[in-house]
Amino acid sequence: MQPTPPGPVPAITHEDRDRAFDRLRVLRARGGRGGWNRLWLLWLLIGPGILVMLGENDAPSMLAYSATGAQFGIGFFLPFIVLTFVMAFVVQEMTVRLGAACHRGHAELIFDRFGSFWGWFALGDLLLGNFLTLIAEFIGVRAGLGYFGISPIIAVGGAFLVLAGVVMTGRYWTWERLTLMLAAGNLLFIPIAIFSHPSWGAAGHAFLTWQPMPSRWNNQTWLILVADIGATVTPWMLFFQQGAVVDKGLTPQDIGLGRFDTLLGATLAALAACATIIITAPLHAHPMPWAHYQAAQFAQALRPWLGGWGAGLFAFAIFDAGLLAAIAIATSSAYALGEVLHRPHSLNQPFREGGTFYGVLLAGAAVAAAIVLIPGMPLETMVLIVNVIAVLAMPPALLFLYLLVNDRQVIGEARASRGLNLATLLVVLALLGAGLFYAVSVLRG
Amino acid sequence: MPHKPPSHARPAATAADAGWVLGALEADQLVEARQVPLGRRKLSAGTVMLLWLLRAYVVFMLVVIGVQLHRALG
Repeated sequence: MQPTPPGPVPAITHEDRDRAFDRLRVLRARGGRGGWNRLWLLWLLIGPGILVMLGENDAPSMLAYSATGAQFGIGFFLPFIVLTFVMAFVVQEMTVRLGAACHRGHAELIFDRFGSFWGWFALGDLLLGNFLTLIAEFIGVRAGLGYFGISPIIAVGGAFLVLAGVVMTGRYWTWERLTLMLAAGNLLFIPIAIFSHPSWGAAGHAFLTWQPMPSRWNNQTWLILVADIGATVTPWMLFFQQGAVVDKGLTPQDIGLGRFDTLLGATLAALAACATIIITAPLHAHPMPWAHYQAAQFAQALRPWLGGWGAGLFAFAIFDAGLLAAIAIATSSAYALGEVLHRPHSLNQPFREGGTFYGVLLAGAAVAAAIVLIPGMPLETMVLIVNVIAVLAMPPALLFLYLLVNDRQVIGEARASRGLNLATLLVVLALLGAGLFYAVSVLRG
Repeated sequence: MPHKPPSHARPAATAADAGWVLGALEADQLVEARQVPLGRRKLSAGTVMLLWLLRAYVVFMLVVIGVQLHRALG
């Protein structure tokens, strides 16, 4: 820990006090001995990594995985999804180190180090992508609860009220624990897959051999592939996790457990994603038209294999995924704008002190929710396209991340190793390559 | 070793808090310390070119998505 420099006592804010209270618990747990103490320390420090990874298993992502299973069955895409989560871990681990080492958010660092010209480009990519994704989350909420006969206005309005209630607790710790409870709902896909009695032999064969490959590499195949990448690696995750690490108050001593938190999140999210492909694989033999790629239609189509309970759980899990991600994505926009506008930006502040932060968060969510209720909106198309947009905005975001994580003035001793730099380069090349192949497939018609 | 905080979960906003708050947080974790900008870094010509190339890539791909959307909706 860096000692507090001598001199006048700095101003202490409400945010500082709440964060200090959380840090004291961490310091005490770290000072203790024994297995329980270690588990307690882990419990105190986990959060941002699990939330970002399960948060990215959002409604459009789960629908992309559902479409993958329905179109291609069990095969190439199962190990491919695991690979995309490896990429996500490589990228997100860097945000843990950045946040813990310099205690500043991602948008703030980009503006500080590269200037507002490049900063506004990065922020524009983030806000556009986040807004479209927020709309897609409320589409998931509407479709998931629609399966139970709940009207769109009650489903979307109710989800917005839950979102507002969770973010306005005025305490990062409370927000994080409530959101972790919602994140647990994402794991429902795993027991649904187990009870759907899949062919475990085919799944094992797919993981070992990456076979069978898609029979045709046409525009639909590339769209699904890029949407699956966009389901794991997106710009909002960078801004969200770094913001959450700073808000939680992690320090360089916590980087190891922050890394474990991210790895645990990636593992759980990969399991849920693969489970979703396995659940919808039976639809491979009974193709659904693209226009039916919504949660309710998937749940209806899966009833013969899952039964009423299984199909209902599937629809509920899609709703839960949309709600969790709506909270996380709206928070990432609010963190980023607060950092750039130099307004207070912490979940540790009461509403009266963080008007801009909470205003941005709630206004973005409210407008997105309202758009979903407009009759005639092309909701199905939007769901798949938002993941594609996320992938395409990722290479410039990764370049900023690469530069920051190698910037000694920002990150000090926690800067990237050669191996990590090489892994980042490979991720960028993979994203660029997938994007360009997708572009060629679209332009060739 | 940090000072002991008050027993209640949400400490009061008094000067007495300063001791345990400063003991629990790193100096650059305080809101006041985070107001100070880190300062610009100089970007090499190669980095600037790469940033522009990736910006062009994003614009090009947005056009491609527009084409895909147009076809899907048409």
